[in-house]
Amino acid sequence: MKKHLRYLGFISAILSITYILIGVIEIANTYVSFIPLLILPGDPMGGFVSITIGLIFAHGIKELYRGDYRGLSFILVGLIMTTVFAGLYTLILIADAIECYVLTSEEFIGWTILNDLRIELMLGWILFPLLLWLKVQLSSNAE
Amino acid sequence: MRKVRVAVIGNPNVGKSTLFNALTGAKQYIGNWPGVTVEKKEGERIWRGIKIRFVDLPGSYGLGAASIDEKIARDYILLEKPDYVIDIIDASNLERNLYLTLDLLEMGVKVIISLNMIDIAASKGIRINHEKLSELLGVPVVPTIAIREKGIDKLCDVVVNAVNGDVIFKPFKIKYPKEVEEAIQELSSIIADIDSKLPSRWIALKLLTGDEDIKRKISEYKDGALIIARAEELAEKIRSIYGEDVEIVIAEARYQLIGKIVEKVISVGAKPEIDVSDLIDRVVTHRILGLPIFISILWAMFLFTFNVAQPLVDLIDIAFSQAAEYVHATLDSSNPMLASLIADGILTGFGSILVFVPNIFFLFLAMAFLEDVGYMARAAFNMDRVMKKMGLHGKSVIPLILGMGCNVPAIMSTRTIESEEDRLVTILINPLIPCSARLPIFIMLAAIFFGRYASVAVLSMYLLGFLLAIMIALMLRKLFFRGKVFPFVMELPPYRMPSWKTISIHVWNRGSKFLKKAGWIIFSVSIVLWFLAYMPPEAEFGGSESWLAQLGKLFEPVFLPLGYNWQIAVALIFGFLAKEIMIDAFAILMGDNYETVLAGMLTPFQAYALMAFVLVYVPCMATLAVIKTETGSWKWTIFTVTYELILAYVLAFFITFIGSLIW
Repeated sequence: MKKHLRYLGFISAILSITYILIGVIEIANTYVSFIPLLILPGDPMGGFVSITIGLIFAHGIKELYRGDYRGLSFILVGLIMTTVFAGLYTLILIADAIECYVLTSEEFIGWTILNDLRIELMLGWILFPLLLWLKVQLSSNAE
Repeated sequence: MRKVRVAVIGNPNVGKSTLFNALTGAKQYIGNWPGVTVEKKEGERIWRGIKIRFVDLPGSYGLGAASIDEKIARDYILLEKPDYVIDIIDASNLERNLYLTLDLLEMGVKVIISLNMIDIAASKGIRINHEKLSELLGVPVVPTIAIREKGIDKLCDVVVNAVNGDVIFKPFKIKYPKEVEEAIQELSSIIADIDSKLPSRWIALKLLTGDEDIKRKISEYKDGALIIARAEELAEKIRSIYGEDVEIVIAEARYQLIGKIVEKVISVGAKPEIDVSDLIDRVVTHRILGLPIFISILWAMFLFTFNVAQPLVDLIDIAFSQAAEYVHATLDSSNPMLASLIADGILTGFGSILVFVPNIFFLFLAMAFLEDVGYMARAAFNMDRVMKKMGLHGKSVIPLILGMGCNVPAIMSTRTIESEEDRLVTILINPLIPCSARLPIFIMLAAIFFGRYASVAVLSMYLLGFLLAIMIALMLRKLFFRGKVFPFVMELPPYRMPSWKTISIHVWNRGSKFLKKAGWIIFSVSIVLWFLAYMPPEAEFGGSESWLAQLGKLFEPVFLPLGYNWQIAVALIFGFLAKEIMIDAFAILMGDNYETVLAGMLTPFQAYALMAFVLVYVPCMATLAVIKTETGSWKWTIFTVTYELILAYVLAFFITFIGSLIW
């Protein structure tokens, strides 16, 4: 595990910047059309969550670079949060798809899957194998 | 069929609910303990031809009477005399848990130990020789992992074996210092004389430690006063010899014995370098990150409750609307009054509340999941820091979080707070926490007025509720309760993978309460509302000439400064009975498309002000009743109603005023 800590520190740094940027853009998009992309909706609370996740990753960078295993706390919780929100956004996508295609609700006329395919959803699932790998590493270390 | 009664007891956070659910499955009966309103759970299981009735006792650290929960557990064992007591012990925390076990053994009850969470203990490098433990205590010990239902059948086997006489329960006695032992001997022989059914040695111990509740029970016997006086005399003698209270001398003897037992049964292997629970706690309870994580989790909970449940909500809505249309179409010509009762009163009115059942179940599901995984305790830990700054006791956090489900059990849960002042403050601010009954109103108004930001509007109500609760607590502390805030030691249970069985039982228990309430109270009020809207028959249903309108118009002047007409006034008045009824009132007064009517009636700011008003104004009748019972005072009950009405009005007026400047 020890040999991976520096790599994990590097990944934390990248993820930290990414999530903070996502959060800032989503908050900005709420008020002005800052970066008008469907994958980055104007969502103040979603933006707040992304910034929180970014800050969690950021907190662990120093410790991981120093080779201190306690830095794993931050990348572990950060990855859990990304997965929880990716799962949640996926459930919302499914719920909206039911609204559109099964219940044919008026508010969902013209809805496409792209409306709910936000970047945190995709990133969360992309990062999921990393969470699983970390879990395996921690379990084997704990035994 | 032979029957046996088994009480289930354990320290808090030892997986008692999980084990109880694993033992009983869905066969549970929920009632109240006699004389109090603390929930009592019972369940059954038929095992090898014997009907085992399990009784879930409140979590306790010992058999004292420090809190109402401990008193309930103790009285049940002492007075109801169950055949056996399953004592659940957290294997990773054996030393602390054994204190309750020794108390039980000294009481002379037949104890079966469930050595739970052995997997967590193993992950910490702790191995327990359960056979040795059984030998030392003289009772059966069964290793269990309740969350995975491991050891449950073995536990039932032991109960059945005990019933069949195949298990030997050896008498257990702790050897106390000479003077204490002599005092116990003297008192217990007198106690045995007055009532041979009492556990005389245990009673003697309690009398020596000055247990007020036991003293009261003994004083009811002839010569009881003499026994108490002798016990006090002996306690004083011991105090003069040891220079310490008898309670401390006894506790020291017990802990010495516990230490010896632990030494003999535990082998600690190499402690793993990394403890995942500790790793997670470093972040989740972090001084800076803890609060934003808490808000993020709350947000996730609302997205789940609001957005994910929406298709189910719409499905039920469609079903009720179509049923109402069908009733009108088929019955209008032959019996218009019956058609109106079924379509407008029941299907539209009552149905308008039932459509929110998925939201409520999803909220309970999210809360049960967070509880089971171990996050709720961390949330309380994070909030504790804020609470302390505001002069609130740490234990106040749990009733506040519970308030998100229902304020009634939340107020009852304040009984664990020892200081009367802290408890009163917690009770008085609890109705400010939005319960699940207010959720449908928030969801309905937010969906109409705030579109894609509806979830943000709903979340803001919860944050506003917590903020107001903290502010009012601060004011109450400064004005009425200036006493010291006592420190709070909190135990954080280890993180666990949730058991879906426990979660589903939890959700059903809580959700079914809502369904029962909807089925009885709300249904009855729906009929009353329909009747008032229907009368007089010559007037238009729910129109301005109806009796309901007359009632609303009486109160309309009070609400006009907030921009609310008589229809909203009616909804708010009936909302006092149960908050959900407000939607019922809207549906009856404005018809099936009440959302559209409301959209034309209010500005988004007025709607937000209405949400804030609903958040704060008078608690429902059930909550008021429990405030009266728990404070034992009309003064504080009336105070709660008064301050909440004033605060709600001022807050709504302020939001409306700001809105009028912008909108």
